[in-house]
Amino acid sequence: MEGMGYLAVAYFGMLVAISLWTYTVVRRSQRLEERMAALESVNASAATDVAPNDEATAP
Amino acid sequence: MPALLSLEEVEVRRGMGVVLRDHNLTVKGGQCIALTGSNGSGKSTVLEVAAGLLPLEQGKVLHGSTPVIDHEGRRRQSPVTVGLTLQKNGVLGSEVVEDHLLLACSMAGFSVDVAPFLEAFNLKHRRKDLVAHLSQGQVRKISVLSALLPAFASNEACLVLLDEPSTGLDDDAVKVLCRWISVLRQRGHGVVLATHDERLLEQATHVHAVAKGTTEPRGVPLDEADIATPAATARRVTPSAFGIKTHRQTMLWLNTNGMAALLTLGLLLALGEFILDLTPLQRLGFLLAPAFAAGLCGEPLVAAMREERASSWWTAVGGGVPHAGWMPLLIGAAVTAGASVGFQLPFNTLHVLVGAAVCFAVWHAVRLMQLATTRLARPHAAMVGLLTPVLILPYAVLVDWLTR
Amino acid sequence: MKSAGVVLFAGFAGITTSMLLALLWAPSVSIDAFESPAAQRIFYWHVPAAWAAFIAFGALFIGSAGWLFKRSERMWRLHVAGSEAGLATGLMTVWSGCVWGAAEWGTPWDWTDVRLNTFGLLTLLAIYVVLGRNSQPDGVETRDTFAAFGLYGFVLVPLTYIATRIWTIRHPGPVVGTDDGGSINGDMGLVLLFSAVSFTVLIVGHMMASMRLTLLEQKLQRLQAKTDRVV
Repeated sequence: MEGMGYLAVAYFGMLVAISLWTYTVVRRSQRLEERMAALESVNASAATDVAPNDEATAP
Repeated sequence: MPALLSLEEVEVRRGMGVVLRDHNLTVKGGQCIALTGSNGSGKSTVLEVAAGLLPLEQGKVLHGSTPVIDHEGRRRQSPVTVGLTLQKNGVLGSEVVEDHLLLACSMAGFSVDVAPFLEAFNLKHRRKDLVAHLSQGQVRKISVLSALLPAFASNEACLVLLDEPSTGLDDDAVKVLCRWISVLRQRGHGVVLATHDERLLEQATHVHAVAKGTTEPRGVPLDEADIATPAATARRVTPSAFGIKTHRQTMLWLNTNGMAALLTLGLLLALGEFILDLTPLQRLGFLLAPAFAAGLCGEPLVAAMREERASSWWTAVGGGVPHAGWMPLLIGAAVTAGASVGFQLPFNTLHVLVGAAVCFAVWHAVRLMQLATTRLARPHAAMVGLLTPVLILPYAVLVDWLTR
Repeated sequence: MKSAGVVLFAGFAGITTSMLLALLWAPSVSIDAFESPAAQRIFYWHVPAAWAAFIAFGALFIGSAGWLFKRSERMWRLHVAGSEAGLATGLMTVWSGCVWGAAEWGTPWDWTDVRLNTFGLLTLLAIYVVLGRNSQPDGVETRDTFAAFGLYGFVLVPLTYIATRIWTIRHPGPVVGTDDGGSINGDMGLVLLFSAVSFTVLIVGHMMASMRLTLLEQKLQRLQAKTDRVV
């Protein structure tokens, strides 16, 4: 029974490790998508800032 | 007469982009090609490709009729003497000014009196100084001289590659440099220079627009009086000869490999007389451990030669990156003999020889791993040490075999 | 990410089930065969993890070769995914081996066991490739260097595979794929097969997710470069 307890702890430890690894992959993906969304909004606002000036200077 | 340098359909990538595509350039003796273009157009890349420093995606580079590098990674020693000044100076702070210039000359197989050249650059009083003691501008002059002197010393046509040579030079020095380039051209050497300096551009027989890949000739007078440079033959300084000299002068080996060996030995001795109770296999493993530890630190010169891109200069001009050569044999033998005395074991010549061989083999194996990361943008951060345990298994097999 | 997520979830559910089967259902081996019969059950984890590691290192090799010889962006993403998956599965194999070794041999590590050491080196190579690559900016220099390490390091895979056939010192010999049909009985083989399939699904899911992450990172870099020009 002692051996089975040892084994159960080892198995549980490894399942936790795999869960953490999977969680880091998901978190990385979420962070990247957030950063991309932020950059896209910066680009969009920069484009709208530029547009009125273009119109103002147009002949 | 074949061209001194030919770039044929060359494509080069750097970082995330293609810097050169289908690029061609030919340099013949007596020509001075000025590379022009805005920052980032690829002038330095063309020079480094010409020096054989960058791997090619397509095409090949020839020195004379010999392909020195091609897109399949084949490399051959250049039959042409190359003089090179990179944007970095390519010289170690621990070198003596005169020694470095004579070393550069030796690449052409000759030696010249460097005094007139140093005098022209107002550096004669510095000839015995360490490069580290000079100002930035003075080091730049040494770097430029080390590219020009092999051509001045040689009877055969040489290839001189200069990347922004006038950066940091005073007006008088630039005038002198212009005159020297003109003289080298008249002597039949080929010069390629990347510059924005109008004074140097006036020396060019051709202007090569890097972005367009076109070469246009331009008129330039040939009226400079030659400079007498009596030369004597000299033995070429090899990377290992220079490496051993640098190790001796700077004691780099003691700081890394020597200390690792001494600390390992000290740690084992601190454990007491346990070694006498071990099996022969374990005893030999511990006896050779200091030599193994010394080797595991690898070649400290690989990191040291990153200073001012000295390793790139050596790769292009000297045929390889300097290394400690046979020195690990000596260090391995010494620490194994020391370990034998420390453990109070009977002296065994075979064990000392094996210690020497282990240190030598491991030292150079780790050096190859270190060199594999030299192309990286941050080679110091690449953690090559993580790979060194790969050498433990052969070490264990060797010790096992010796004690059977 | 959706398809990778489904595969990942299936793999994770599979290995959790196989762990439960290994603990509660799989038959025990003969007491005489092992010092620690309970700890022997860790092989339902150890062997499939090693199998998954070989798949990951195979992907690393193919990705490395594909980048070096074809300059394929997709192959570079496979190199990244293979090295990360190889690192994770390599650590799982080494860790489970240490747990088993501590119970069976009385020591978690044995320097005289060739397979243990070659597998340790393979994992170290994966650590080196992952950490070393992350320390560098992306570019052809970084890719060429680490792809070369991935390519040459692969020589350890066949060495590790044949290690127990050549030097059976402490590591058990092969239990499947041998001429005599192996030493595994029906129920044990079923759990081992289920575990191996689960690990394969998990590792494929992770490599899919990792390849997508690398693609996102590349898109982010391009977006940043575009923003630099706009702002």
